[in-house]
Amino acid sequence: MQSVTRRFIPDRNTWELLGNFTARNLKLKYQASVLGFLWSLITPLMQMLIYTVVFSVIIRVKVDWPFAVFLLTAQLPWIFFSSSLMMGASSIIEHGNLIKKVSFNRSLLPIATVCSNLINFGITLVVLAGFLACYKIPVSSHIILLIPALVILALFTLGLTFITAALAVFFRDIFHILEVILLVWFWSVPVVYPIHPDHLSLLNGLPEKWEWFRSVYRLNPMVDMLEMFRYTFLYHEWPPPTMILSLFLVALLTAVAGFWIFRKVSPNFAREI
Amino acid sequence: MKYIVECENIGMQFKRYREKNRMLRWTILNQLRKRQPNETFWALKNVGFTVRPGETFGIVGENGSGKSTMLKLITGIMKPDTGTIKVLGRVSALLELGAGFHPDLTGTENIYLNGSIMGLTRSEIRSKFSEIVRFSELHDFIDTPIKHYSSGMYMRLGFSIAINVDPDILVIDEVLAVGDQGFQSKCLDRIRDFKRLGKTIIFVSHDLGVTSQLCSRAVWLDGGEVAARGSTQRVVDHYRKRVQETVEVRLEEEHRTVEADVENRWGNREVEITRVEFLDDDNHSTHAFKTGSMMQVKIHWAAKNRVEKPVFGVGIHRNDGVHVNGPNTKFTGSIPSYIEGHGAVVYRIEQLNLLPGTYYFSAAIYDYDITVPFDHHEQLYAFMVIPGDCEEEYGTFYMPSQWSYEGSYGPIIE
Repeated sequence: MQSVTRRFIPDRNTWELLGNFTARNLKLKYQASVLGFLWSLITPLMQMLIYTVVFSVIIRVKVDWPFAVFLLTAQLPWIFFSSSLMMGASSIIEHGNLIKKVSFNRSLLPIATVCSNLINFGITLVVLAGFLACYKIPVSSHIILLIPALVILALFTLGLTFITAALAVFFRDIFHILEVILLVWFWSVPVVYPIHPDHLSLLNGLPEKWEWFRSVYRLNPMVDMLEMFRYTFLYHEWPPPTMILSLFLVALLTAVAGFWIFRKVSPNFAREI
Repeated sequence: MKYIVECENIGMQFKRYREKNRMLRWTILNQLRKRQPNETFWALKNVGFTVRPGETFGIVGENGSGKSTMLKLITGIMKPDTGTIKVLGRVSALLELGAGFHPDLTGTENIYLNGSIMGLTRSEIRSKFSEIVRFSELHDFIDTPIKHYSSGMYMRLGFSIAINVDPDILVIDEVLAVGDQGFQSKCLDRIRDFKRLGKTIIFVSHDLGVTSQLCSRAVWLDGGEVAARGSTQRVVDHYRKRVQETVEVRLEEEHRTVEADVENRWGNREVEITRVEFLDDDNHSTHAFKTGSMMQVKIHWAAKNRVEKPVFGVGIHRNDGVHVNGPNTKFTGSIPSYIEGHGAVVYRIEQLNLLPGTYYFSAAIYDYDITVPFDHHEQLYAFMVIPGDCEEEYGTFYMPSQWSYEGSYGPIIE
């Protein structure tokens, strides 16, 4: 693997190194704290509690499901997405010493960040299952949508994580920019409010001359990527196949583009860090 | 396979940041102003050399000459801006020991993580694990988080992993300069083992002694360019000459500032030491002497009045404080009955049998009872001893000697 001509197809060592980086990320995250991996549950649950109080008790957003469950179905994937991007941005620069002294496949660092976040996400999904059971929301055959939903979101996240990881090496203020972008992004996707056509939402009651807004809104791929999870757990109906297909294409394209950009600039990491 | 490493026309450019300013703002502003943000310089220019399989190849050069950059190109950490570099086989680099270590992980965890960063599979690491632990002598601490390790332990673990990666090419960058003597020689032994196994080694060091001992061929980088290349002897000789010249200039300067030194000079100045000269056997002034060569020290003096039976004394200290000798004219019974005006006394060492290093010379003039100092210069004059014909390297002295055998023994091999 050390040779200058690096192979494109991952060999055994590459897979193991990815596994090691991922395991290390998880280990370091939980080992140092007393409550360990419980923290990865406490933060989203606290957020859920606050949003539930604010949006269902105070502002009274109407949804057809218990608000907590409605919220979690989109909030958990969002947390996976946003924390991957944030942690991914530091994945290269926090390994500056390693980058400068050892030659290895650099792309494994952001990939490992996404992998460890994905594992976290998996754990939180178990909690979601608990909530679904508590509120007696049945699990239907639509649960198989979880697979495309996860694949699409993971690919999309990976692609953007590659980009934030690479950019952070050259521009350290990427973290501030990213924070702002994620804040805006969070409120422009349906996490705390519904957009499903059958339910009351801002998008449904639009006056005619504002119709274009709906199409523009839908251009944001995260909208439907998060909706995929609600199709999986809540809507109990099948999304249009074109939606799945186009989401998949967008995600794949993002992943390929991200990887391409990352590989393009990674030879300069050692020099710039 | 003729060459295992082949570099051709390598060029590497770096930006010299005035300040490490990576704010997006600056990039945009500079783009708008159509201006180069920072000046650039070539860390390497037109560098080319080849390394044959099984060879131990040296890279010598001063700090900032591009050696480390060159190693980073060979290991694939960076890519050159111009030229091509071909490396066949697995490279393991001792650039910085334990670069990938994480302080919160235990020794074992770090061995697995670091090993896999270096390109080993899990089963390969497992089979080498006990050897790594044994070599590092860290058996009792292997399950302790390494943040509790001393820097020596940290290094030992790093070296053990790197050396056990079983690479085709081992790249070593001056890491041996650190660590205690014991571990250092253990590392050197290991490198020699490696050599014996016919592996290729690329060795970067300031230490010319070790370089010429280990390497068959070498390249000398100076300011990012190849200053000499070929057999180690040739390269090292060239390099040594240059180093000697620069050292010479430095010592010369130090030498001249003696006047101002009050801390290391005392005496009533009835006789003053006006100048101390180091001369080789041809009476040429120099500050570097080969082991075994002749060294002459000419101590110039000026006396205000006639002084009866003055005693001249000299002394040599190694730069680590070891007192090497301290003869005076009273011991040898060569005291003049008086001196007057000016003159000089020459202290001649027929064979300077000191081993290479930096030494300090003291000169003094006392009265006959050696109680009243006229002028005493304590360790004010530095000189260097450089390797001569003798092959010894441990200790302080070269003592001409022979080995002979008794009893039954085979023919002597070289």
